[in-house]
Amino acid sequence: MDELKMERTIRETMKTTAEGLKAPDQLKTRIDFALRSGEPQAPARRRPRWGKKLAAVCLVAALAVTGAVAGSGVVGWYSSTMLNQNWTNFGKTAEYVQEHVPGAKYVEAFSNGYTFDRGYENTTDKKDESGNTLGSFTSVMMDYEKDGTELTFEVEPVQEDGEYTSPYDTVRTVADTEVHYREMKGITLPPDGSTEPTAEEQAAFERGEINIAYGSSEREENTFYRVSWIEDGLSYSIYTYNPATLTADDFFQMAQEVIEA
Amino acid sequence: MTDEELVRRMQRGDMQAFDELYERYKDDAYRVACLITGNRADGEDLTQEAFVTAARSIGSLKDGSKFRPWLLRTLSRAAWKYCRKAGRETPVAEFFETGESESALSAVLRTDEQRQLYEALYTLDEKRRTVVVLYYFDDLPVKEIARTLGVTEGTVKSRLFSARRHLRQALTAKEGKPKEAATNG
Repeated sequence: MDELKMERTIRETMKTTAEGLKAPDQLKTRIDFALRSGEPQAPARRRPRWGKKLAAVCLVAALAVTGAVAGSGVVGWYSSTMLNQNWTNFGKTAEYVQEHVPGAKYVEAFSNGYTFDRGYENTTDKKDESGNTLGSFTSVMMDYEKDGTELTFEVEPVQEDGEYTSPYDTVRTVADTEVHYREMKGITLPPDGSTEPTAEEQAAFERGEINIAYGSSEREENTFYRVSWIEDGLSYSIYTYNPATLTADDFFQMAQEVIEA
Repeated sequence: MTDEELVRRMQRGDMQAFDELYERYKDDAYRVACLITGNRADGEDLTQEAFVTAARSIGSLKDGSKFRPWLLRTLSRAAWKYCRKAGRETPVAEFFETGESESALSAVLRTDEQRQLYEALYTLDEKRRTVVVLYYFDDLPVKEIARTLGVTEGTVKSRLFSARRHLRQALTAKEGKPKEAATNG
């Protein structure tokens, strides 16, 4: 079928389908009733909250542990990447995302040249003091690569006991969505407890000033660059330790491209 | 009376102005809602939601001449949420009305080509379907669709491109139903 005929068929199908449709008479009555009854408006958009989860998401492989979540019995979030659940094919990753994080949005490539490289599953368990798992959730992560540098995109269901905002964030409204950006100093430690944060570092972590993650083979000091937002019950983030030439504006632009995907 | 004047009157609490705007755009909104959702009942719910939201938040509309795109934007967003929720709870084949009953939207379609295309339309995700409806049914230019949906023109073009490709595949496929289009990209 040639292009012109294709266009014409689409247009005719639409017009033919809809031309006889008229708003039913009772619709106005329903609208008036809803307006008079004072039903509440749709709830205001939730402000993204992050903080406790931050330690977990900055680890690209192995294991991460976060701090306690007050009042829930949960003392830590333990996040691990399933290395046997990864895909170098974008289509396969997309299928997995739709099955495990339905409704999630993502892109195959960003306009700045970062292109999908690999996708993998990440599971976070919420544990109590005795190590019992009180709950868990699955997130999907995707690595994007450009000129040898990488960044990671992650999407997961919002957790009621998670904290997703920080007073240190730069906040902008992008495509009607509140988007947060932060550059955060941090350390990554081996998960076996052989190295512990100093008292000053632990205090700074408690104040939300630095990030502490576990999973490296030796102590590492780094800066974590992250843009994040919440949309339709899903928490999104794009982050990296090595931003190369990326600026804060670039991170907001990438967020916009996902929001508008 | 222009939309701008009616909106100004509404903003002063004159609900007769709302009634006039409703009469002016009720069929447009209902048709777009039916085409996006694929059935009359959901189209009616969404049209109601869009007008109720519009009436309640009319104070936030700065330029009254933009009432129609503003209304359609409200409707589109409600539709996306609705389709996603319904899509998770109801198999697509059951959710969208098919040509099997005379009450179905597609009952008026008389050629195989149109029926095939109609079915393919509802294997598109809601965002691509919305763009297709606004472009081909409402005859909105890309720039206006971008403004209506609050996205960039590039995003609209990209969604149109992949929707066309998907619909073309559906129409040229010799047998079998088209696979569900990706939700993103």
